[in-house]
Amino acid sequence: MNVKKQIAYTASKLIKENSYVNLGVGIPTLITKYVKDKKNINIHSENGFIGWKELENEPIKDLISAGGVNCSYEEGSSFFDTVTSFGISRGGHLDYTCVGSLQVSQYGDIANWKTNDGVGYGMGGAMDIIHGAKNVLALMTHLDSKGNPKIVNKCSYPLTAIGRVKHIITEYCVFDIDKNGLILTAIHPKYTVLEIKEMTEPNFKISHEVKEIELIDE
Amino acid sequence: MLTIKRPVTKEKISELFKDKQKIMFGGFGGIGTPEKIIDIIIDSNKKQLHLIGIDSGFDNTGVGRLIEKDLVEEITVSYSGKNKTAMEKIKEGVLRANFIPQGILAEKIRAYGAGLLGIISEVGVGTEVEKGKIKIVINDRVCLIEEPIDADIAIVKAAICDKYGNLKYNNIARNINPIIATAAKTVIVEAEKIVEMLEPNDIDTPGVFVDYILDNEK
Repeated sequence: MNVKKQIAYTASKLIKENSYVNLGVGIPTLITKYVKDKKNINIHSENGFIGWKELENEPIKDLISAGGVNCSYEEGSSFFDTVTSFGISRGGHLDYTCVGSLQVSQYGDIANWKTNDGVGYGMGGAMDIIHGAKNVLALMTHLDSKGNPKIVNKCSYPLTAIGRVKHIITEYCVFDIDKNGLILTAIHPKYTVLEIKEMTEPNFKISHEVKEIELIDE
Repeated sequence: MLTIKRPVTKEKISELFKDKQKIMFGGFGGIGTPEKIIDIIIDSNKKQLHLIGIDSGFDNTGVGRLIEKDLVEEITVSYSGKNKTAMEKIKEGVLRANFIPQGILAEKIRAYGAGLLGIISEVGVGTEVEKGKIKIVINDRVCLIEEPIDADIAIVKAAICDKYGNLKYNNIARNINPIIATAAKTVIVEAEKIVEMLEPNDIDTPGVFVDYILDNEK
């Protein structure tokens, strides 16, 4: 299994047509590949435009994605300044943001901008975007590189926002989060609930209509 | 007849810089940063500068060049992850870094330029961003009071400037340029093109905010 692609693919299924979407760097960027068939996905790039599109020809002057990559823009795009860009986010005008994560707690707290070691690179736009988007999707591997759960009772890394994450998407499953905590809504066909429990620190409920994750065919 | 802001030589611009100044700069990942003005600051060899802007650029572009030449003592930015030299200096303790969420940074600058004594926001509540800030409760929501940020000088990059100092930007090179243009004692513009007159409806930053225009010819 290509873990990153699988996570992005699963997350793409949660994004509805006719929506305004911000994608963080890393795994979330891969989502662009899997929403191509959906109608009217308006991609907001926090460096100042809506209408991100993959670069087709020569690089365009004064245009990069928020991740610093050359890109193009769709017909109907708009360019705007930093105040407007983050007003779009904080003001609740984005339907979704998909962000990479270090840890997410059972109540939707998220840590994704630095660990406890060193100074960190800065939070960039993450706090404004996670604060304001209607649906925050946290995309991450289920376990960290040392095999520790990244879905935790309480985040030990510095927080980005409290109580904002609505969905967690890992390579093995999808959780929804409500005020009572985690609900398992989808699971990889080759894994059992027991196996998910072993890899997840908090207890969770299981949706009465738990689905199988659709596996990516690449 | 309106006030004409005649472009001035780089020698004249150079005289505006002093040691220990707070300098706001335009740019996101180096795009929209006035590189010729950066050259002038480097040549003037002014030191212990405090830079304020979205990010610290790359090692060899944008304000990264000022950091690399040890002219900078402090940065107030949202992100520094693309500039290895800056990160090394931060770790060594020779460069002080204040990280502020990108949208809030823009609003704090906007607040100063608009004569507001601060803004109230929920971004960063429950995170280390709230340290040292006044908390208030509005409609049962805990908020932070964010104080304005000003500067001695703002260095602005525009696509087009007219002889009245009116500015127009291009694509995402706009970013924080129109915001910083409102919030510094002295505002210096580098434009790709200087024209007789822009159409009043096409103007992004009105000339009232602009003090000096760098002459591209001399």
